[in-house]
Amino acid sequence: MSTAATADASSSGDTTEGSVRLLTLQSEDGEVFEVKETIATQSVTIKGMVDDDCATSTIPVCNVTGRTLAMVIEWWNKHEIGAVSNEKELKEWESQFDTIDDKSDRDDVYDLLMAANYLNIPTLLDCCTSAVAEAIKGKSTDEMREFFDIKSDFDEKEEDALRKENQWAFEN
Amino acid sequence: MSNWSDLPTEILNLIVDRLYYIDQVRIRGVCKSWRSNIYYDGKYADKLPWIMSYQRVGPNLIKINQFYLYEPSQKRKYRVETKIPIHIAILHASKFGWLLLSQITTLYSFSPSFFFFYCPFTNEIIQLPKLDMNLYSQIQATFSTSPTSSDCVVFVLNSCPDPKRIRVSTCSPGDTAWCSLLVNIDDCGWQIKKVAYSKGVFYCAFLSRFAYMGAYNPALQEWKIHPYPPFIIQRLYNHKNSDLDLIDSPDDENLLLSYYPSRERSHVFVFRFDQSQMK
Repeated sequence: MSTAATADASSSGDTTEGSVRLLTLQSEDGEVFEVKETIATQSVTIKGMVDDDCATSTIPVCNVTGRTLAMVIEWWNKHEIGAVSNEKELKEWESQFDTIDDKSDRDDVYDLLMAANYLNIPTLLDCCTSAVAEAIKGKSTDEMREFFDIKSDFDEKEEDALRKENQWAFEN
Repeated sequence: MSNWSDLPTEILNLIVDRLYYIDQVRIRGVCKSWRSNIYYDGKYADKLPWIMSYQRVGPNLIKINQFYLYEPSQKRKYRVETKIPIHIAILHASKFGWLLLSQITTLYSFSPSFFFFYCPFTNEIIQLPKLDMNLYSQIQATFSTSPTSSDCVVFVLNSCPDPKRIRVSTCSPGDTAWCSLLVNIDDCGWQIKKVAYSKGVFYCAFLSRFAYMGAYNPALQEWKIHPYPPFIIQRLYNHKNSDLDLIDSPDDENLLLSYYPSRERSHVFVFRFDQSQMK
């Protein structure tokens, strides 16, 4: 996934291609990506920097790894106006985020959520929050803990009180 | 390595907003930080109203009431434990996840009525001050907004011994007494069919020869009347068996008046009330 996105970005960047400006993004772990400004400004954060003329040198994207940034760039490429011929094709491509039963998929969605939040990319944030919500619908509290790999930090008494508060909701 | 318990609060709540009510209850119990970081803002993905029902169960004479909540989105039924003795409580309205009920304490003709709110999801009860009324009077009651919000007003309309007058009472959760006033009704033999709330005003549908709807604005303490559409007035006069209903919709603040040509309610005519057209 990572190489594809890099190749995509550089292929459009090796010529000056009219007035299309390229932005240089650097991930937390030092990977460098060249991305068309028109694409990267899907991030409200980056758009703000471009508008304020702060995007002239390399833009450090802290907290986002190269692997995640490549996924984000792939997302931008797909969501660029005119990149995909119809809404149906885009939805089909997005549907890969719908199944996050594997731990590795969940890690990816977590990283994308953090990146979407940091870079402020509303469409990606929407897609990822919806994927997580769909995945946990109908799950019990214990199943949710397992899904998120979170250990309960309530003691037995608190756990009891919690259940009593909404006893009916825990019947299954 | 992802650490979901450290998810930023705003993202966590974006996820929670997309869940059904029941899933929101469960996700709050995952861990301490989520419990304190999830807002109680009343946003759920549930598009359909829940249904509450009860059933009397038990051997012969010793019967207890069992309450059920039915969630249509996931087609699931839950049993609710409640201390409310439904056989002496009357249900008046249900909105925003709360029921408005009243309970009569004695069977003397003038007895205090206790109105209270009950939330079947949390078993919370909000008591309201006592309201004296005639046991045999017609009572209709409703409320404006969620009883936990600061602008909630409860509205009770009841008939008086004097058939040309009607009593309007309002109060808010936390008040120590009701604010009541008597209103003249220039007609005998009317019936209070239904009360509803929309955009700051309580409305009541009367079934009478002089066909109009009453409107009470609690902020201005002002009572007004609005005639029904001519279509209804004509029919009310000619069809003794016709019936009326008033429906409010908290989501879009619409107020609907429905007219049934017969009590069997086999068909219905629905009118939307346009407040801006009224004087």
